[in-house]
Amino acid sequence: MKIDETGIRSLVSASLLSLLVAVAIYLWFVDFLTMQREFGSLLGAELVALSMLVYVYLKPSYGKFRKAWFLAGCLFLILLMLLAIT
Amino acid sequence: MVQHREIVDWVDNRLGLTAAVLKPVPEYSLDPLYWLGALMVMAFLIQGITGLLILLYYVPTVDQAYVSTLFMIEHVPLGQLIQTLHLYSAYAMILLAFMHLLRQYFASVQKKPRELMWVVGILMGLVVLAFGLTGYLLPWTVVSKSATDVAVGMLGFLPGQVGASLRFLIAGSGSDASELTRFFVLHIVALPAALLVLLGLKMYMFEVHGAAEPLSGVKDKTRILPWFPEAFLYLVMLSGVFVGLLLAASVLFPLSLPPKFTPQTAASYTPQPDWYFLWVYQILKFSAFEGSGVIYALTLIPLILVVVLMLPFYDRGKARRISQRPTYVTIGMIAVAELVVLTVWGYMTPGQVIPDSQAIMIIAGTALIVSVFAWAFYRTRTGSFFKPAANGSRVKSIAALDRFPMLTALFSLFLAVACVTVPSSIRLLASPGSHGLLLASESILSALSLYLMSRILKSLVVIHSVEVGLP
Repeated sequence: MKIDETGIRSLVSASLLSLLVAVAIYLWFVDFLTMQREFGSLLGAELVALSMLVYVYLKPSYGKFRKAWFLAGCLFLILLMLLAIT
Repeated sequence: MVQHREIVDWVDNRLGLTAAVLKPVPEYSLDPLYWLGALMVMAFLIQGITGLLILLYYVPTVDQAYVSTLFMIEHVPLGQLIQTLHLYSAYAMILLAFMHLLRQYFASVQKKPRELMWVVGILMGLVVLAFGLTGYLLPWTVVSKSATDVAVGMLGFLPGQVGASLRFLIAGSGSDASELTRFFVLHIVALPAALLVLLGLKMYMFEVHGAAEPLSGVKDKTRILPWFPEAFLYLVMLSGVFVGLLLAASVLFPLSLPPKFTPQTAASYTPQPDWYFLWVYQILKFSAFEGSGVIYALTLIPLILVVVLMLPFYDRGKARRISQRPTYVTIGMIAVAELVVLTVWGYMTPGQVIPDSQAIMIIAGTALIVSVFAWAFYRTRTGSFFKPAANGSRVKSIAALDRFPMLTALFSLFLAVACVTVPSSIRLLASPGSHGLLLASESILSALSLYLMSRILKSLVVIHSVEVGLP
């Protein structure tokens, strides 16, 4: 299964975009004073998700898509989300 | 793809980004190593934004500096996160500046026509370090004030009016209040202005010369990508991950403020600078540089900087590949190793004066070990250290050690033994009478290890044809 195959790239992009929007909405309601850890982690997650979205969107236009980079991004995203909830 | 084009065209028609802002970039430059400088600028931006937010609360007076910093950390929404991010982005900036310097050096980017870019880059690095020095004092903690006092006090050892003038320029009349005010003004006005001017100069020169070609060469020089959207989105992608990493570090290891500076707390504390000045700190602790000898250290350190600054004007050979520059690559590797060793050593020995014999042994030992590794590396790959053989010629050289794991393991074992026994024998030579037996046994072990290492190397000699496959 390659990222360029019909539908996969769009699906991944749509998922990342949904995550971006959901996290942005959540961030709006976070209490800045008592939940600094959550805010920092989620802001980080937002930025990493944006980077991944750009990678998925941009990479095929000039080079080979590398699954390892994408997986590393996913792991980092998960780590940041875990940091936010623990 | 149609939608992608439509968005790009819509933005470009209104802002003219593809035509007016920055030149198109070659495809090979879309590599993180080419963007270390850009990430440094990103760290500087974060510094600017978080610095402005800190300024809303920070009061630069001796009484209020610590209290206002602590207030921001404990009571201001996101205060701790902003303070931590400000600190970590400063660390990142210093680290990125160093990595950028190393990349330029080992890839020979500083050569014609980019000599002035190197000079401006080094000056920018110094400004970044000055940011660290001045910003370190501002919270007025016992850690920061004690270390800054040592640094400022050393200026008094400079000859004639130089020391006094520099001291007055940086720290004012000598009172705590004037020192804090001057550091504050330097940190938020003078240094940002200097960095912006230098950044503008560097960006201009970068636009003139473009990105240097990779050492491995370029297959297709016609592959050029517009700055907008490709290079721009690439920068967004890298910056997102970079800031994400900074935020993760800030969340995992939030800043906690050391105690406030008072003469009483300072009395029970050994001054130690932040990690990026530990190498200087360690050099200053060598007993040769103690007391009036500090003048030699204060001459040596700027001399090193001048040598680094002038590099493109004496390293003028056309060769850029690592395989063709054994001397400069080895010098660079020694410099990095010494820097790491001095930093770790400085961290581990706060306040201890280092005897000259120990200092020489560690500094010379590190240089020797790196040189041996570099020599072995060039012997295995290019046939000779001083004059690499031409591609394709037949040479006598040492086979790559990884092809013979058993011999490599034995070689490493003897190397480890030699590393312990040789320095120890030299140390014991200072007092041979009291440790005669130990000295004799260690000397025999040293000689035996060195002999066996040479035998192993001899057995690995092969005749082969040189393939300069290295970058």
